[in-house]
Amino acid sequence: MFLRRALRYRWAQALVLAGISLLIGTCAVFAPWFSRAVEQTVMTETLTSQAIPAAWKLSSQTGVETVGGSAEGDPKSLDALVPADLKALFTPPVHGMRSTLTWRVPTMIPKEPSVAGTLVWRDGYCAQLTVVEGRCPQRPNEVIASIADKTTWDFTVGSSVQGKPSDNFDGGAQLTVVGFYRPLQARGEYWFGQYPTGHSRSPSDLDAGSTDHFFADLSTFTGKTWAPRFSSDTRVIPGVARIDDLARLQDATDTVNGNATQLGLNAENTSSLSTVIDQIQNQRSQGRTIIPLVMVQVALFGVVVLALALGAVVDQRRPEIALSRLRGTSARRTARSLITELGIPVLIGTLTGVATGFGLLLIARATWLRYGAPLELPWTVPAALVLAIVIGLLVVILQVRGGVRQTISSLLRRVPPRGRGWAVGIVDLCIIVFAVAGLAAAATGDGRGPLPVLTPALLSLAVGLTFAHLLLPTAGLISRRAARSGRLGLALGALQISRRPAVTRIVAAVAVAGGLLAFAGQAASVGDHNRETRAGYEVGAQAVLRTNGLSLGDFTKAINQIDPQRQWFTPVVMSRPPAPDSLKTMMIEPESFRRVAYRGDQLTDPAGWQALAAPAIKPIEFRSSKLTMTAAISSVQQLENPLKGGPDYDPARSLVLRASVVSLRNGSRYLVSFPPLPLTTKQPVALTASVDCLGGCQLLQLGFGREVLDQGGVSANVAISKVSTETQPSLTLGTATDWKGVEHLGGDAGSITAKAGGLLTLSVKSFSDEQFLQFGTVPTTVPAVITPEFRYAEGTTTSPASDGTPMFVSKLSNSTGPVNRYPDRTAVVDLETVRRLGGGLDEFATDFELWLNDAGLARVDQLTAAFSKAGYSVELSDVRSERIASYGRSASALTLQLTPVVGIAAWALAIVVLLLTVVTSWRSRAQDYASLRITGVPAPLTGRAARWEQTGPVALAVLLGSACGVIGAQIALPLIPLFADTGGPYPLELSTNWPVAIGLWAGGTIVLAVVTLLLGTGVNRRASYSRIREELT
Amino acid sequence: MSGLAISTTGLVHIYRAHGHDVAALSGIGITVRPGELVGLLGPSGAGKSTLLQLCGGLLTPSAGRLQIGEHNLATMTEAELDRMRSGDVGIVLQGAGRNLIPYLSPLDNVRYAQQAAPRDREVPAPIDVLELVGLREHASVALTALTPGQVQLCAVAVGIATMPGLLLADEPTSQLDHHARDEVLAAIRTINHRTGMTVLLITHDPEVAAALPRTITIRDGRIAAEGRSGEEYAVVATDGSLPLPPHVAELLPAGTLVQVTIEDGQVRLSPVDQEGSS
Repeated sequence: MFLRRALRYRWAQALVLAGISLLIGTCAVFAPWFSRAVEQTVMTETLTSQAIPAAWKLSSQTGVETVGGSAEGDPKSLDALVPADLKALFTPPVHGMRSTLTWRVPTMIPKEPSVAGTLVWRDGYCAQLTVVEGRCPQRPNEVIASIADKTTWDFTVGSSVQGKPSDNFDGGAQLTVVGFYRPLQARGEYWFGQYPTGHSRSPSDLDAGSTDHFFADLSTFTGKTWAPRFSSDTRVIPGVARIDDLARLQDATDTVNGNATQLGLNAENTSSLSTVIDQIQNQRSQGRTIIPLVMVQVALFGVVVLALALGAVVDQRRPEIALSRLRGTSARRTARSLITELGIPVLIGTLTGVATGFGLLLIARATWLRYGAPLELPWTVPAALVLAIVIGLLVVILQVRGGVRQTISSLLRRVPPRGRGWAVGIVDLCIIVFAVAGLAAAATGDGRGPLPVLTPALLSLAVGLTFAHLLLPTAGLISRRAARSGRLGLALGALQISRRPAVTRIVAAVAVAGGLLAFAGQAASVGDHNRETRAGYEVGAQAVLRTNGLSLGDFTKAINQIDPQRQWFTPVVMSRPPAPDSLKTMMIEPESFRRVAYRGDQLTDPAGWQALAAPAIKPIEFRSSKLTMTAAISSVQQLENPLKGGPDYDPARSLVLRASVVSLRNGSRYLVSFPPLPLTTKQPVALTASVDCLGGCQLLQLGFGREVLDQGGVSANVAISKVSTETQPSLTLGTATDWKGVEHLGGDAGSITAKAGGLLTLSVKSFSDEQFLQFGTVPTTVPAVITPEFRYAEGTTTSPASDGTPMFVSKLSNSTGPVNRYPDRTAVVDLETVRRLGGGLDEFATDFELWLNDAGLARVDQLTAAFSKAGYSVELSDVRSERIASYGRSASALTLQLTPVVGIAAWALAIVVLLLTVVTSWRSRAQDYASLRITGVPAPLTGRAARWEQTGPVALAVLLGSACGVIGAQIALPLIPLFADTGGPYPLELSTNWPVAIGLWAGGTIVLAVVTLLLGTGVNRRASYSRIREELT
Repeated sequence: MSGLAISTTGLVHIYRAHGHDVAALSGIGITVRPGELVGLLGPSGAGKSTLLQLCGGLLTPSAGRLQIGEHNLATMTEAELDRMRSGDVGIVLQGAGRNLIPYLSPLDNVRYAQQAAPRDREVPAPIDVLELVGLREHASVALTALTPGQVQLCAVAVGIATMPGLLLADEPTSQLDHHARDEVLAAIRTINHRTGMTVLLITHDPEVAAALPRTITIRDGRIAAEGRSGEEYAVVATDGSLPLPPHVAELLPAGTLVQVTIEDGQVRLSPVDQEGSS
């Protein structure tokens, strides 16, 4: 009957209760909603970012001879492999035909090898090409070639080549070039990974040369000419395929190859969709772990605050409860009406939480999730709402029952009676015990389960409650001492604290809020920091440009022209071995790498950098077509075959002086053989050999080989007295110590050393294998920073660095950080050292990269143009900020974005508690101060007491809570998955972010101190004499 | 309903304070007839409020017997006490505001107080209750618009909302000016007179006490005196003890040997020395 009036009279209280319930309701519905939306977004994002792995690439396993309309040769036949119920989830398939071919032009001499290439047709390919010249093919055997091929092979529109399929010797046709293209998007999704390579290479000593894709019309493949493979590429559409489709997609992906066999299609699916689905599931489970844990903390805090608020409200209603009981209303009935009165705002608030939760979801969807999730109502939302309502009403019932059950005489007292100062309520005790148990479990357990993640909230709750309960007797003690020492302001303030148990609520709530805020700050900042760090390590620098370099020499020349000071980038060349468990070679420029690469200076220590750099020895350079060495042989001694039971060879006849030179023109390495040096020669002999060094060469190695069938063992000293070229009458060879023997795997018992005498004297013991000394410009064993997980042993070699020859490396023990971008099985060596070593690199196993700093990234267009002008095509392959953004879209990052929201919500709740306590107690406090004024206590003194009675405990509670939050974060953060995978060697950096911790503590203290000071001032201002007689509450 | 009698015998109430037992009432024995208007007098801490709260069932007697009408309060359960307060006993607490719901009008306050009345009990219309205390014209105004005297009248009205047999009023006339005090006192007398309701009220005001037909003075948890129409008398307790009035007690300090004699039908107290000589 009086419910409406009761609610209207205490509208502020109702509003506060509704507000807290609103927060609980919001958390309750938002958590499952957001969790679901994150799952959907993660799926959409993963499918988008991994478009190619998530695709179904159905292709025939072998070439078919009849195509273009016949059932078994029609790529459309592969479409049947996509289950009908999943077709809507896949893009329209892109059908294709391709045939590897070799081709020749009539001007080629017969012995000249054919050039390799690929003849391709795809649905709508012409729309994916920029036709630079000519047109797209329209008739059989017309092709459009890449612009790179035009340059390399001097093609013109109308040029024709005689093509032949690689695996069909009977087929082939004359192909006519009708145009030139450049891909519209070099790595566009249209290509499904089958994009034009951009590789066009003229023949060399090592290679017959190659062309980029020739695109042809479908009609070219009609007949039995090309025996092409056919394909049908399709991919799951992000945003259309949803979480609930995952299981069906997984099943379909797992069974598609079996279905192909059943359908008699000689085809297979090379999709990695199963792996992608696993990743999505993994991220889903992360989201399911983090979101509830984060939201449960704030929801639990909300429940605690609701309980505290209701406690304050029920305390304030004590006179009304007493009145009701006084008039004979039973405790049960009194409780029922009060439960109704307080339950209504709680119920309304919680229900309104659905709207705010939905609003938050819309905001999160529009901002964090970028509309990556559909609007839907998972069953967990109403379930969580019901749970929140039940919990909210349960708290109301418990608090009201606690209040109503007091005796009437107790209810009639103005200040609620309480036990002795050290008494702790059962509920508080349970909370403290639970929190301490949780903390102990977190600290001593295996770190699994939800308790450790709840540590910040539990710890701050336990500490806050303990502090709150210690506060009352302590404040009493302080009050008495301060009174004795004449500090009346402090005495009064402390006295007020000691006689008002309500302050314990504030202290506990503020401590929890401080803890949650500190934890939120740590979680958010540490998460951000790790995403940035990992992105930095993974990308390598601010950005990476990939170039189509072929040789170290040319590449070095180009980069030296474009950025000689390395202001914008550092070059990195990566050579990958064919075997995945072999050691890769990462070639860097130490000086610029330290400056430009992300944390490049942390790769190794100063001694490591010094060891890594190329030796500072001047190379032996010359330009000539002939190289002459004057040598004399002495101390000749025939040796027996050291292999017991081995064949007896004829006595050795000669030694063949050999030199290894590195061309400065193209970086290739040549082995130069001089005429044989007969062992019987007593006088110095001038030995001359032709060299391809008009463009300049560096002498790298000197050594000896043997003539054919001359396998007898011999030891001798060969003194080189003069080295000359056509243009240089004399070259120096450095000192004997500059020459070191080169190791050979599986070599015979021969050896070679250098010693003084002439320009250089070589002391050799030779059986049949070659023996070489290497000049000191390149160490014979190259120092390398080797990733720690690789089990290094002496004699370890890297992948072929040049000319297929393994490079011996010695592991530097000064590695101090992970290797950027290539953290596994990698040997980081000096680029200049490898360049001096010379030789050709495997084009398909080597990446030439430019790692950009911020300045370089800012001028990436100019750099691209400059490289293009130098004949290189460059592509921005990785950008750190994009990687950070990408990590920001992971389930972990998306869910951790909640933590600041949680911190702010916790802080808001603490302020609510503070306000509520003041709202419910200001009148009696004002009466107390008014009474004191009557007794002669001056207003400034009561003012000081009023201001500081809450500010002191609150400030201390913020400090304790913040400390608990920071400590709790140290326990909880290692258990929160910051990334979908472990991150391999990149370490998580979970140390406390002190600026954030201190900033939040200081900010929190200031905010609450200002609030409490203002409220205290307000209370003191209202402490008028008339207040003493005021009775109506 | 007619008034309820109050009868106490050897009523004791002990409470615990700071670890010690304190006897608020030490064997009170009083009898109030139905329809009587009785004032409880005595200094602060004498036990008046405790006696009132015991009569209202707000406290439980530590010992002794306490009978309100048919109710033996010493043996009643909480629910029975609730039922008793819902119809038979009305209580007006000290401080008028404490008796009222602040956001309700006088009329609604009376209604609120009638809510718990047993269904079989005939309760008067709220407006009639207000008329009884002279607040009919202010039935619907906000409490804050009333004078202190009117607020107190409203508190009294709430106390009699169910027309109980006993009205317990704790200092209903305190903190009021003389005019308001007289109005409240007059209202209580009217209630007592018209309804036959037994009224037990506490007062410190001698003028109010003088206006009451019967007063009981309590001192140190015992009945010190009784008054009849302004005259005060000592009361012989059931154990035969006789608390002396203060002015007599000054002449006979504690430990004084007193010879009690009856002369001409009068009891004479003669102090004697420690040897027994007068």
